[in-house]
Amino acid sequence: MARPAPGGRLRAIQIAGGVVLLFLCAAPYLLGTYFRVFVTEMLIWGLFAMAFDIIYGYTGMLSFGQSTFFGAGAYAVGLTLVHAGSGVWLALGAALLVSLVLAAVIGYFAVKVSGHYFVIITVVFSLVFFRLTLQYKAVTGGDDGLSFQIPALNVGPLALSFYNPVVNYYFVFAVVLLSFLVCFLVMQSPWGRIFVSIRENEHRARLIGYNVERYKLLAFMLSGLFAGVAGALYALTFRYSNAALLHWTVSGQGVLWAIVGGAGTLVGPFLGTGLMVSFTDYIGFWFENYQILVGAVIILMVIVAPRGILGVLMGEGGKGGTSGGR
Amino acid sequence: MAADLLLETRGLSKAFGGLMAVDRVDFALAREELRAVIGPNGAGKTTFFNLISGLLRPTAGHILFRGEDITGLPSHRVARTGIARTLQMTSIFAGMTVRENIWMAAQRRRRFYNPLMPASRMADVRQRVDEVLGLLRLVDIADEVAANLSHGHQRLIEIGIAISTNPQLLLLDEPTSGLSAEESAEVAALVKHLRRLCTIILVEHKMDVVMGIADRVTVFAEGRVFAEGSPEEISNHRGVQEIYLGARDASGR
Repeated sequence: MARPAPGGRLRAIQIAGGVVLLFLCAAPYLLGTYFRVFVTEMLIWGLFAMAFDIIYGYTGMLSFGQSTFFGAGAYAVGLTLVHAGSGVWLALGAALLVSLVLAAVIGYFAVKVSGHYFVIITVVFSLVFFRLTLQYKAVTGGDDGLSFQIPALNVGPLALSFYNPVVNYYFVFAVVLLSFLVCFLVMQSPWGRIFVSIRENEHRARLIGYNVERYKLLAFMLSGLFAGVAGALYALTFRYSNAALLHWTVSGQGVLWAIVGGAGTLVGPFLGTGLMVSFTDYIGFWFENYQILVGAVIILMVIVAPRGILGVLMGEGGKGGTSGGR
Repeated sequence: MAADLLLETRGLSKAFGGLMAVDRVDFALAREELRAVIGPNGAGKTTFFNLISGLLRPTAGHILFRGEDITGLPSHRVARTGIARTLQMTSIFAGMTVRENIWMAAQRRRRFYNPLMPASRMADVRQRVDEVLGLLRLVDIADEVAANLSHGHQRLIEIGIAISTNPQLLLLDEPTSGLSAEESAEVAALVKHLRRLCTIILVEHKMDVVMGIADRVTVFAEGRVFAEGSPEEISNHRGVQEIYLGARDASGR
């Protein structure tokens, strides 16, 4: 539940958001190949960071395991296309199902513990699935990965080719937008409020009569589901999937993007992803050990603007207290 | 008699290692009663509350609420049977506004929620929140973030959360702790008002608060029910004076 920003600022942010949205609607016609691919990728990773924020920013549980669902989504698409020879819709459906079921299973065990134990258990699960993916090279391609062809997408009478970059972009954009809207609705709903109440005071939520473990599991499943959607989009865009996608450091990226952009919001993670990846790309070009600078920026952010860039824009800056301990 | 009982415990016990924090307590509470539970520090009052509200599992004994055995139910299910409670150390949603705090409890009365419908559309919940805000005179600060408010207000918010679920039994654990004499008197007046809505058990340290409003008083000492009676009987009870005042002397007050 974001606190309303002082009137004028909120207006300005809404207008800026509208401009960005319009830009995204027209992006393939405004950008060259390099930046079009860049924006496509930002949408995908932004969705991944947003999915992470459901479990972290809203529900207050730090998971380093979301890469498992990203990888699961990517592999579900790849493997159904390769082995089942299925169409894109079926591959997407498989990705949804696999990531949701996997999130239900891992979540079932993970939400039984909290705090540091939860962090550790998510890392461990993530390592297990990473190792398994490496191990079963015959199926997954392991380190080398799995390349596949994407059949045409049938929408009514139209057969759209993913090899057409404009089609690819709009498909990604539409799915990300739809995912965002669904998450937005859920976060406004009683569920979203329960998630936040668990973040704020899980003990009190339980004493009121909420089955805290059940709602933690729901949040975890939602988070896993949309991480899986992001993974599926990645696979459809790059026609490729490999074990590295499941590594917990991929989760770590999502964590950083969400925190830098503004945890506890849905827009913040997209903002954080866009800015951090641009920044990393830019300085990586000039400076070999750019990761040191990335680290410094993150430390600075956490100290001066714990509510992220969006928090600063909303005028809530570093002066904490408005959103309580997280 | 049994038909009028709201809460009953039989042989309720909780041991922490070798220590019997609550020791074979038989307790009976009639509907619409306002019962005070007093006793020196470490007498087992809060442990007794924790057993009833499901935060702790008893080592022995039973808890009956409305004639049903609720022993060993997890705390969220106990809450759904109609038992609400406040904690000795204020426990609220510090990062939320006062209204959002109350909302969380008022919203709980539904069993299922539509995850695609905005919470704000639940008109009955909104109405309930307004009622409670009015009752506790929190309307003026309804949109303040709870963490920024005074301790007294935070205690009120916690009581508001507890009653918003429409409980049949309200467990108040030292609602006046840390409050000034003036604020304590206000809380006492509020409790007096709340008893029209539900049955109440009040754990309290301040004797004057208890004596003014309780129907009956139960005195705990060393995990057991030491004495029980009307406020007059208890204040004239020699044994109670000894353990209670004795313990107060020992704790240096």
